[in-house]
Amino acid sequence: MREEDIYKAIKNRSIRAGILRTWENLHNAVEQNIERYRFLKEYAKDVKMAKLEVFSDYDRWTEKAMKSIESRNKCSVYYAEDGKEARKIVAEIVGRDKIIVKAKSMVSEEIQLREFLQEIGNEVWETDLGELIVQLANEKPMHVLAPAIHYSERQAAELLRKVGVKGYTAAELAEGVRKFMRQKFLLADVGISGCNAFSAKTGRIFLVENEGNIRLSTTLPKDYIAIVSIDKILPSDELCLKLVILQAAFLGTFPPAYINVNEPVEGQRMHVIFLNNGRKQAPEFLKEQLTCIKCGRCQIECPIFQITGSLWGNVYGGPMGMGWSGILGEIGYECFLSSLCGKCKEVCPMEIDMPRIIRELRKMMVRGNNLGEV
Amino acid sequence: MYHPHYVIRSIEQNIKNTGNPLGLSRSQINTWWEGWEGWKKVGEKDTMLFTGLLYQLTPYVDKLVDYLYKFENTFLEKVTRFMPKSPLGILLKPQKEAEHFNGIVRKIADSLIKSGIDFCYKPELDFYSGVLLYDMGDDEGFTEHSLFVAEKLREKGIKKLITIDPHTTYVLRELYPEYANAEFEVKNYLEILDFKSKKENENITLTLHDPCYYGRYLEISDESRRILDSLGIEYKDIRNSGKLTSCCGGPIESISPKLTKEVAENRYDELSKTGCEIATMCPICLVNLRKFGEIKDISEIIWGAVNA
Repeated sequence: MREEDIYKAIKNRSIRAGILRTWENLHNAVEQNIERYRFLKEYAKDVKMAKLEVFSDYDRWTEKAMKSIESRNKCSVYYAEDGKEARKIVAEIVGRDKIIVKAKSMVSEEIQLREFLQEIGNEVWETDLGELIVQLANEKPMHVLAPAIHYSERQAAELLRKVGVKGYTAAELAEGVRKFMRQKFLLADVGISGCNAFSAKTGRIFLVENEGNIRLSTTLPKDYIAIVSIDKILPSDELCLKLVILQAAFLGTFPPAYINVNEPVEGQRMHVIFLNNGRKQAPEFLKEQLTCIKCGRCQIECPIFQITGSLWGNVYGGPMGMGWSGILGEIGYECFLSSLCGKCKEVCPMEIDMPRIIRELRKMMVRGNNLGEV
Repeated sequence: MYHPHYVIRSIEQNIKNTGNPLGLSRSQINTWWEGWEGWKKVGEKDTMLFTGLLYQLTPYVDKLVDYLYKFENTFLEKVTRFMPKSPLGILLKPQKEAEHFNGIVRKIADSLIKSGIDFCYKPELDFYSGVLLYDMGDDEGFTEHSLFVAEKLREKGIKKLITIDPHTTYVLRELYPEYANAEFEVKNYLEILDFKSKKENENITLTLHDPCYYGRYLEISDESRRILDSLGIEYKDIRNSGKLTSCCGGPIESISPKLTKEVAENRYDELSKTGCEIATMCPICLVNLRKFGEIKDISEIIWGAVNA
C-alpha cells in the first residue's frame, strides 16, 4: 500500500458513499439469511473444520486434488509455487494474439494475470460488469466481490463509453455490456476463471455468480484455464456446495443466480493450475485467515474500510486483507491502521479472529524491528 | 501517516519515564481527587477505584492529536519524530477540558458511593494500564509495564479493582492474568452500579454509542442499559450498537488522525439520525465524536438522574 492512497481515499467521497449504500442495501438481507436459514451457521462450522483439516496437510490434499482431475481426458493439471510460475504456465497455454475472456477472480488479481496477458500481446476482457468498469478505469477492485462499488451510474457510463457501450441507467448499461460481451464470448480463444471451491474427491470446480458471465467464460472458449489456489481445496462436493452457498448468503445475494460446477467436457481443453503463493508457508497465526471464504462482509462492515475501501491494503483490502497480505508476504505498516475494533470478527461467517491476526502482524514487525524507516 | 516506528518508540519511552504514554508527570494529570468531598466516605479497603488515568489523559491526548492532525501529510509530520516527549502538557494545558474530564471521574466515584459500594482510592497506586503498547504489538514493553503496575498493587494488598473505562477494564481483566500473572477481581463501574429503586421517566431519550470493548470484547453493553432502565431513562438503539457497535476511530489517532476524523464523522452521522441525545462511555469515543456535535458521557447522565 502506498501512503498517499489513504489521503486519496479520504478525498474521494464516492468510495464511502458507495460502500455505505451497499451496506444499506445488503445488511438486512444478510441478517435475514442468517435468521431464516439456520443451517448457514452449521455450514460455516463444517467448512471451517474441513479447511483447517486440509491445511494441516496441504501436500497430501493438493496431491489428492491434482490426482482427482489428472485422470480425466482433455485435462492438463499443473502446480505453481508462486505467481511467476503460474504466469509462465498460462503464457505457455495461451501464447499471443488471443482473445481471452475472464471471470472475476481475486487470485488472478493476486498474480496480476490480466496485465501480464495483455503485456505479452493478448486481448483480455473482464466479463463481470463491475470488474470491467475497474479494468477500464485501470484501478484495483474496491471490494472483493463488488469491485466497482465506488462508481455512480454516471461515472460507470462514462467509463463504459470507452468500449462503445451507450446508456445512462444501470439497466441500460448492463444491457449494452451484455451485447458487447456476447461478441467477445463468441470470438474468445481462451476462458479463465478462479475457483470458489475445489472438490478433492471428484475434481469439480465450484463457482458462484449472479451475472452468468462465468458460465459463458468457462464453457464457450475452446481452452479453459482454472486457477485454483490451494486454500480452495475441500474434501467433498457437499462441502464445496456449502461454501458457495455461504459466500452468497453472507454478502446478501442469496440464493445466487448461478452455481457453476465445472469439470472437463467434450470439445474443450481444460487446464487446471494449482497455486500455492505463500499459503503452505503461512505461519501458524495466519492459518485461520486461510479459512476465509472471501465474502467481503468484514470489509463492508469495517469502519475504516467504509472510508478507504480497498485502498487500505494490497491485493486484498480491509481487515481480511491484512491477513492475506501476511500470507502473500507483502504486509507493511498498513496493519497499524486497523482500530482493532473487532467488528470484522463479529460479522465473519467463519468467525476469523482478524484483530488477533492484525495484532500478531504488528508484533512480528515490532519484534523483528521490521518497521523500517520512511 | 505517522510511522508506527516513531509512535511506538515515543510511547514506550514516555511510559518508561513517567508511566504514561504522553510523558506527563502524574501530579499534573491525576488531580481529580484534589478537594473531592467523597474522601470522607472512602477508607482503607482491598477494593480500589482504579481509573487507569485514561479519562484524565484524554484532554491532553486530544490537544496533541489536534496538532498531529494539522501536521499529518505535511513536511511538519517528520519534525514530530524528534519530539519523543510531548511539550503540550507544559505549553498548552487544556485547563477547561481537564476540569471537565476530572469532573467525569468525580461523578463516577460519587455515583459508586451513592450506590453503596465500598472502595478506597489511592492516587499513588492509580496507573496507566499500558493498553497502547499492547495494541501496537509491543508485547515486551507492555509486559514490563503490566508487571510493574501489578506488583505495586499487590504490595499494598489490593485484591479487587473498580475500573471506569473500556480499555483499562479489558486490559486489567483479560490481559493482566496472562501478561503480569495478576488475578485481580476487576469490575467495571457500570457492572456494579445499582440504585435499587425504579425511578419514573426522566424525560430523556438517549442513543448510546457503545465502545467496541464493552460491546464485543467484554460483552457488557447490557449493563449501561440496565442502569438507565432503573433510572427511568429511555434509549433508542440503532443497528450498529451492542455487539455490532461501530468504532469512533480513536485507536488509530496516533497513526492517522486524519483517518480517525473521517471515521468519527461517519459514526456521528449514524448516531445523530435518531435525533436523540447521544451518550458514550469511553473518554476516547467522547472526544472523537463530540467534534461533530454534542455528546455526553453516560456517567454525567447517571449522576444527573441520581442527584435530581
